[in-house]
Amino acid sequence: MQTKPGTIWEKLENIDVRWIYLVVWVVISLPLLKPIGIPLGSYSAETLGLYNYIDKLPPGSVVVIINDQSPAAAAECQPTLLALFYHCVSKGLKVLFVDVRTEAVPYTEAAFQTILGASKDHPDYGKKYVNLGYLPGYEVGLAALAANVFYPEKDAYGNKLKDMPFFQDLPTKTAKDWAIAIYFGNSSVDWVVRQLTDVYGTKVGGGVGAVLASRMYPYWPAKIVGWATGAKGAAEYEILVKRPGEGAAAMDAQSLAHLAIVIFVVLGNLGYFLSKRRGR
Amino acid sequence: MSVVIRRYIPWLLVIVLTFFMAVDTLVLEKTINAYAEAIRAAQVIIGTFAVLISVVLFTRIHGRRVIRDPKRIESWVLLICLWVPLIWGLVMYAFYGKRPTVEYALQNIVFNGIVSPGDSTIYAILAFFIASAAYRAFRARSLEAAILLIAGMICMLGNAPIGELIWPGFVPLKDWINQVWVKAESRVIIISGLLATLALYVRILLGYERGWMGRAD
Amino acid sequence: MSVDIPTLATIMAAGITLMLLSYLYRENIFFRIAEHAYIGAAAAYTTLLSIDSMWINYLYPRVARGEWWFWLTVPIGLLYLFFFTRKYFYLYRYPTAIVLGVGIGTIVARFIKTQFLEQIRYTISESTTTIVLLPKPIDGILLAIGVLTALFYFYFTIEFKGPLNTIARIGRYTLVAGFGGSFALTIMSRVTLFIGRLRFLYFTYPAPYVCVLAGIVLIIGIAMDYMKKGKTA
Repeated sequence: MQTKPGTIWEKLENIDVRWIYLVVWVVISLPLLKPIGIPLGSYSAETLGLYNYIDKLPPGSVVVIINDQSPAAAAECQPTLLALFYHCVSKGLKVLFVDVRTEAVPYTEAAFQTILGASKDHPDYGKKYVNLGYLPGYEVGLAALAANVFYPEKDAYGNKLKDMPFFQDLPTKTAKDWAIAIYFGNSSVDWVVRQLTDVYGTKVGGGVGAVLASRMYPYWPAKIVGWATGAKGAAEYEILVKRPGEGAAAMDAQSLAHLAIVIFVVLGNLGYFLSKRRGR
Repeated sequence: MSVVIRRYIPWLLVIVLTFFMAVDTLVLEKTINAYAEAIRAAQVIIGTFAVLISVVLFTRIHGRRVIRDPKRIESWVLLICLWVPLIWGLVMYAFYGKRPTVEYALQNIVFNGIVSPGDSTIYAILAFFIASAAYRAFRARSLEAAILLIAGMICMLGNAPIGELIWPGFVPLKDWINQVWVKAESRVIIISGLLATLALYVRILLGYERGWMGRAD
Repeated sequence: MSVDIPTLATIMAAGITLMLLSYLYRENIFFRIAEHAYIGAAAAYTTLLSIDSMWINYLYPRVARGEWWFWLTVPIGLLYLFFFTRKYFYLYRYPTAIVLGVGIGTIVARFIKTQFLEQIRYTISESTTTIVLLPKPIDGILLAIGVLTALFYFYFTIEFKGPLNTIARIGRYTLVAGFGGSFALTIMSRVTLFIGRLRFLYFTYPAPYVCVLAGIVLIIGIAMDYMKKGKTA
């Protein structure tokens, strides 16, 4: 027969897990409903690396955005995508969007609508901005695109790529003409580095979910110039381009959630060690 | 003869295509590169048909379930959410020329209404499970567990703005852990993963690994 | 009150989100319905976009140019459906072999350079250039020692005794320190996702009304559970 828990620590250890869920829900909700205004703090070297590289590009440089966002990744990556696209537009850079998964298609369209106000009907579409749409095959598809930028033949709206001024003055029509390729998503950046940097010398950047960030470090700084890690990276990039958005808005809640989980771990371990000392 | 058609020809196809595409990536020769581009396009077209397997599989599994038990609501829901958008999208495409990427109802109701919130929420629930696991299971029972916990806590506070507010030292410590220890660990995972993948590819090419062939004959 | 399609989509999105979140209370029929709806809709959406892209960008331009042999890819692709037969199952292996062969060939030559030779090269070069917290070249040396000892830890064909055990242990500590950092990043990612969902539920009209309705249903559900518990006790 199980004895009733004695000390407060033992009672806390056996607490119904749904109370913990409720605490987490409340801790995250409160700063969303009533913002606290915790200062963002210092910028990370990773985000600054990406920002400075884009900032130093001469007007007319080609930036390729490889959109691998699923709806799960979009919460972290889409704010960075918007901030980065805004940065490229303000610097007069040419931007080519490629979606490597079907779910990323609406997020590319949303980026055009949010930053430019229009996509295929925008006056600079086809000259400065092109949306290739969904490119199947993942790594194989990207390898083919890098070898020949006219590989998909048409853009997302059915327009022929060879008729577009965007591609007219590209010397080699391969990834050698790209100043940087920026990966947005949560799955893996190895294949982007493998097919672009190693073959054509194209630099790679990222607007990645925090889950993927640990896989970026082995390639940094030799092949990856920098990346925005999750919501914090998005907030940093938004503040750098002076366009605060969803990334910055989430930081208060993010801070309290992290603090709450740290407190949970400390409490749990404190209880464990105190109980061990008492001797169960 | 039947073994040749069932096993050896597919296996030979893998070997020939692997070597041809590998040569294409290493050699700059117009004819080879042109054929390789055509093969890549063909591979993309052929690979697209694999999605049909998921459609047929869901229909079979859940179709059998509703036949056995018509009160099984969730299977009905899956079949409706699978076939109604599929038929709608194909009809709109075939008869009205509306591509799925711009078809209004499909984008709004199917993607914005079901796919996007479903995908996000299923992963978002993990935040709660991590919090409860952090409270109930993460114990510094050994030196390794203690190192993992301490590194994790420092990085968690360093990753959020509040960490720098509590103590500015969290951020440089977090950077140190990420740029030295996380980098080392990721590098090892990448190298080990490569060796394992190469071993798998060699086994496939030599015919020892036949899992890709599916069911045994 | 008329409801336009985007508003209907928002109501559906809020409903799906809350039905999935109801799993936190306990497993229930609402969660199962939402889960199955998501799986079905995701399969349909992916199928439609894949077929569209394949036709518009790959098949149609090539056959329109006179490359009629590309039509052969369609019956080869349809061979995938023989996955469901017993007698002709082997036909499924042909499109699989093509996809596998092209995939391996495209990747394998680059794999070795990017993920092996270059990683070793950078480990050596960064041993003298890495400066993060400690004075040069301590951080770089720690990085190199970490990589080498952790790689050694995975060498399972000899028994670790004496100094070899020490090396393997240092490798293990490197790995767990790295896992700690990765764990923090994972938490950040999942919390951000939930924040995104909450922002949608609280601030996107008419999602807050759906939240109120869900709250009422939850209270009724909790009350019914307590009554059932009271009866069985």
